Amino acid sequence: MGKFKGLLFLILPFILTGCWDSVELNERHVILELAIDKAPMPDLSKPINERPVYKITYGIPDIGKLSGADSLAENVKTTITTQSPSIATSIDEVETKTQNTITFSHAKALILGEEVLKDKELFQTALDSLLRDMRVGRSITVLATKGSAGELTQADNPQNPIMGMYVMKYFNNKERPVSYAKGQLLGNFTKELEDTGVSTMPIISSNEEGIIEISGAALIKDYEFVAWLDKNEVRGELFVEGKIKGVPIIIDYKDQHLTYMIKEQQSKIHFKENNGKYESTIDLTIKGDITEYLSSENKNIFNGESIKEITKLLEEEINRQASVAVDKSKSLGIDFLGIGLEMYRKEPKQWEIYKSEWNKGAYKDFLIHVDSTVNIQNTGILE
Amino acid sequence: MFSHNGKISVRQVEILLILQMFNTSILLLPRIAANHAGRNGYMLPIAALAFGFIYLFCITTLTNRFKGDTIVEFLPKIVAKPIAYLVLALFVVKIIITTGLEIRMFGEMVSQVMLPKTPIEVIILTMLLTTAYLVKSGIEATARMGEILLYFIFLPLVIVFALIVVKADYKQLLPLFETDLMSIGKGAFVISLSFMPIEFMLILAGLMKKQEKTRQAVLIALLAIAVIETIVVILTYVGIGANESKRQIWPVLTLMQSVQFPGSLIENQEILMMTSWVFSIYMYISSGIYFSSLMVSRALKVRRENIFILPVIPIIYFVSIFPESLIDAYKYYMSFQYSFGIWFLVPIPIVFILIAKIRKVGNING
Amino acid sequence: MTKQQDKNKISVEGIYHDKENKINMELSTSLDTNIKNVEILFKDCMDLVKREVDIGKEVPFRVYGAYFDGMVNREILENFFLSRVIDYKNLNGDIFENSKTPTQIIMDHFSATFDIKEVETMDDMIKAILSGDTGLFVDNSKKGLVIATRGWPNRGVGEPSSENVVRGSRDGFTEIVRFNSVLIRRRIRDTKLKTKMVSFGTRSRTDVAVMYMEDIAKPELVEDVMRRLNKYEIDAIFDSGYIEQLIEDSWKSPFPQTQATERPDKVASSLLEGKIAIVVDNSPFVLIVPTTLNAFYQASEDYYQRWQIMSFTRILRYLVSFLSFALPGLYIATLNFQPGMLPTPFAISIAASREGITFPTVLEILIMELTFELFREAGIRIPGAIGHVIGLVGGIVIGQAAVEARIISPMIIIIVAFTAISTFAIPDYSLTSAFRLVRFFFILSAAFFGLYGFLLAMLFVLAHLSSLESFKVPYLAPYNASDRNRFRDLKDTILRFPTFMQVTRPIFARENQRTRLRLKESRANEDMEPGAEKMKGNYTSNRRDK
Repeated sequence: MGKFKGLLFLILPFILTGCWDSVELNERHVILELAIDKAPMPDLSKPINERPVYKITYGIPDIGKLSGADSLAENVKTTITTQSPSIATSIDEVETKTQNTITFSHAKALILGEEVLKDKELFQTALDSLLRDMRVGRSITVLATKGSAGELTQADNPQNPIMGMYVMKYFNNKERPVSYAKGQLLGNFTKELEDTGVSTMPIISSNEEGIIEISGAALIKDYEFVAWLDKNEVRGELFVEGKIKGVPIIIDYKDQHLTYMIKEQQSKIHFKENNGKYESTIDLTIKGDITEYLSSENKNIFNGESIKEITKLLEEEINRQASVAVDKSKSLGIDFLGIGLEMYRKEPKQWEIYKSEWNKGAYKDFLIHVDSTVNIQNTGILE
Repeated sequence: MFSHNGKISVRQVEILLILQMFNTSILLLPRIAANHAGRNGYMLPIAALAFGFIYLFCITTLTNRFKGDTIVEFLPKIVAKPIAYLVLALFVVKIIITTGLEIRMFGEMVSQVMLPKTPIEVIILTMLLTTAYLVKSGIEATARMGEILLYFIFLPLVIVFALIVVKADYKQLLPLFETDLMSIGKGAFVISLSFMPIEFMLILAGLMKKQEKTRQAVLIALLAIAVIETIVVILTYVGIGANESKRQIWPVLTLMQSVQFPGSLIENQEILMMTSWVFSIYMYISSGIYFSSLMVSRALKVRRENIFILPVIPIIYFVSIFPESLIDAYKYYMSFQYSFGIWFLVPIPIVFILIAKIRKVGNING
Repeated sequence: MTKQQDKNKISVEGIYHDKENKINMELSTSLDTNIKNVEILFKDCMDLVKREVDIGKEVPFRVYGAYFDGMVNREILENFFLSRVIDYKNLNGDIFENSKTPTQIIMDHFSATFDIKEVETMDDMIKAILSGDTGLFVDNSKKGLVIATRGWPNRGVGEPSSENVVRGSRDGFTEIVRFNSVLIRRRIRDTKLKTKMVSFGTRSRTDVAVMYMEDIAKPELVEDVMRRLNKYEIDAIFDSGYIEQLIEDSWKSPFPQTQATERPDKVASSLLEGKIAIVVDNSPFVLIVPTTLNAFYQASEDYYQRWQIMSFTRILRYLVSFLSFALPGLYIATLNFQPGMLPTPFAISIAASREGITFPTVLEILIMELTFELFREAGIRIPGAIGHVIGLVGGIVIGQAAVEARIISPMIIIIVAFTAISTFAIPDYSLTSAFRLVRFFFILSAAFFGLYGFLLAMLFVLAHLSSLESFKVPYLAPYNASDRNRFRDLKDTILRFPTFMQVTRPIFARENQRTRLRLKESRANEDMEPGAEKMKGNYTSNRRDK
């Protein structure tokens, strides 16, 4: 075994100079959110590698303050904004301005400003750069914002000063109803863009009091911003995709508000030929309870008759809500509901016919019906 | 009592073969499959079994003819000694180069996921030395190690795969059967090269206790690995999509990245999943080192069989640091598999079977 | 004599003693010669009691007795031998027939004890005296007599101090080899339980009993054990620990390759598995060979309680023993290299607790681990009552103060305390010691290469364990090589299967002796659920059927 020991001596210098990757946790700044904006009007006279295109805002939390301990820092969060030609140079720059090194291993929210979304090249480079180096995980939530992302993250939020943490808690909570926004992870986002070329990401916004709202969506096609979807359109999309959960539906039944709470919803898209043309039907199956209704003797809902009527009214309302998304997507001519993908999966031969024309008008003319089946399981403990 | 004759049981051979085939190529597999057959790539491992059976047949026919002998002993019986030793030398060189490239790919992966700043030479060298510690104890210890590592490799994988299975969106596999047969065949051949470690049977068969069961052992290993490969490909496709698999260099790693553990017990669990790969590649490398040194020492008729283990290590090390970058390493790795992977699986065994038949050497009935 | 021979000469060799410290001297017919020899051999041994008496009245019949004061049971000697001699002395009898040798006469007529025997050499005689028997030299006889009067001070059979159980027998081995073999034999009343006695140590002449089941233990194993025991010449053996280290397979390994236990029931059950027990005089620890890693996790209580709870305990033991050597390394690897693996809130709280601490995590862990080892060592040495104080001072005062003073982060205290407690969950002390050492190896490799280093350390240890063997049995059996017993041994590993399912002996036993439990033939035909005493139908209907 003498040789073995000799070899050990050979690698000893390696080991002694080692620990290349070791950094103490308290010597890292754990970045929780990343806000990417487009730099204002680059100076075109400079060469391309010196032209700043990104404006990235880092919210650097003070770990001590964050966990309620004493700390030398004044605020919970220090905001540093950089302007740089690439994300790597931006990190380089921010590290000259901070006491510790930066780590993105816990980044929870990637907030993209409006300007970035509208610049196809910049958007694509940004995503590529983030994923290539495994700098951020694929399970980071992506969010769009109208206006500047940097300003949004800098704004005071009375609930939680760290936006990334807010977003993490928001989407980690599985009990939360899914009504106006669809969570989007970076990995899934790029996958959808690779598969169909169309994807959405939720919008995050904040009002004057600093109350944050996550609703609506930005519609992206081929790495390019197309339109903002408002929250009703997103709800329609959620209906079509069968992801609605814990959402109240209000109808007018006998001049009274009746609230129906959706517990579970499923969706199936069927295709069939009708008069030589293909058309699709979106079948929605909804299960839920009636939760609010002022019943009186003549307005008793605890009988088959009333339930039937209510069901009908509910189905109409849900059809209307779902159709909002269908109408929107048709008017834009962009299939963000995944009808084309479903067709490719279920009717690949038919898809071959539509494939080339789909985004060039074929989708606009494609007939889509929405048909819902409502199931009232419970009316509460009152009659 | 346990006899110390350097022989291992049928089950140990099966496990060794499974672990050897479960190497870096599995991590690349979904990408290769997607490139050849798109979203139907999951059919390729099963189709590749056809090729696998050919390899199995060629190699076991040759080894069954010479029961109790490894390639080092039976080759000189078939042809003249100079030719036999030339072929043996080629085989050793091939094993060394494959092992070197394998450990380079492994080092790149570790460097990417775990230790970005650590020099890759250190990663490779520490791995090689850890491997040397095992193989110096001989084939029985190696086989036992394989049995133990089986638990450590497949238990985490089963847990993660179970998570993916529950959450996955299987619609992504639709539509079925839309790839043409030609590309399936081509893809199946490429995938079947991941069965390359079967060639170790040329040596392992001589170290088995129940020689009559070589065919059964290889068959079971082949079936097991084909099933595992299919599962890996399917889950990668439903996890990250076939198109994304094409884009990623390590699609399986990306898959592990996108899995989310319930209750957020661990984040970024792809690092934890590296455990499985580190362990399985350890077994592959240990086989590479062991068999190459075993062949040299048996050919030179040295009494102590583990004497060439340490000299082999620097050679493998230099092979592994030869490629200048990941791109080079990947290129060498793939092209070496394509151009030299098949030689010891089919052509060379067939040639020697024919010569043996003509010269009527070995066990004719076998 | 040449110089070379001088080198080889063992220091015990002398005029009377040979190389192995045996006295190469015949017993003489003349009592006077014998007395002279004894006087020379036991010169300056003031604790030896020796006396010459003439027990014949008419015919001179001289005997010379010798024993060590305090080592003999005087009651036996006086009541069953000396008093008889005195009785006979006052009698006139025709006992002195010529057909019997003098020693036979004494055995037949003067002794009221069974355990008296003739010996032929001076060596046996002296050895018996040194062991606490009484030696009797008889005039005109080539033979001497040894009366078993051993009765030295001992602490009796007490509770084992290291392997306590809630349920199960409370007797533990003591320092006396004979008591220990009795404790085992009381549990196995079988003629096939064999006890081979060897004496070990040229000066200490320690009695070593090798016990095994003749028809269950593999003969080549017995042979191997005997061969290894006869390998070295050592001057003294004071504990089974000496023998353990002299017969083990690999001296390099920190892992124990023989199992030392204080519990007779454990030894008995091991014997029935085909293992061999080595009982060493002066040691309350009996060695069991061969052993496997799994055997260290099998406490004897596991079999006395219900299988569900014991399976759960086994899982806990395995898990906790993994953590006992891995946790500090894992902590360093994740904290310094892969913080991304920690859940965000947890990472933040750890980072906050480390704020303002000067030392790197590795140093913190090493300091605390070493401090703990110090407490452990000190705790053993310090007399009982103060030991608790040390625990208090060490655990609370130093731990608390170190955290308050920002020398150590609180997580480190938790980790070190947890690993410390974990080590005590493993039923075997020597395995725990191995894990304590291995822990530092894990800490260092994780400090250099993070999780990758941790995995390499893991592979290194596993490779070591895979190559390790105890008396030619793979150390990790039955996790590997389990196909040799058709996977049956896996029934008693991480999970302890119900007793009725444990029908076979493990691989240590002979091939043809593998069954240890089966249904009685008379009941084999009954329609029963396996393992349950529940017949289909009730008693009455069953009887009617018959």
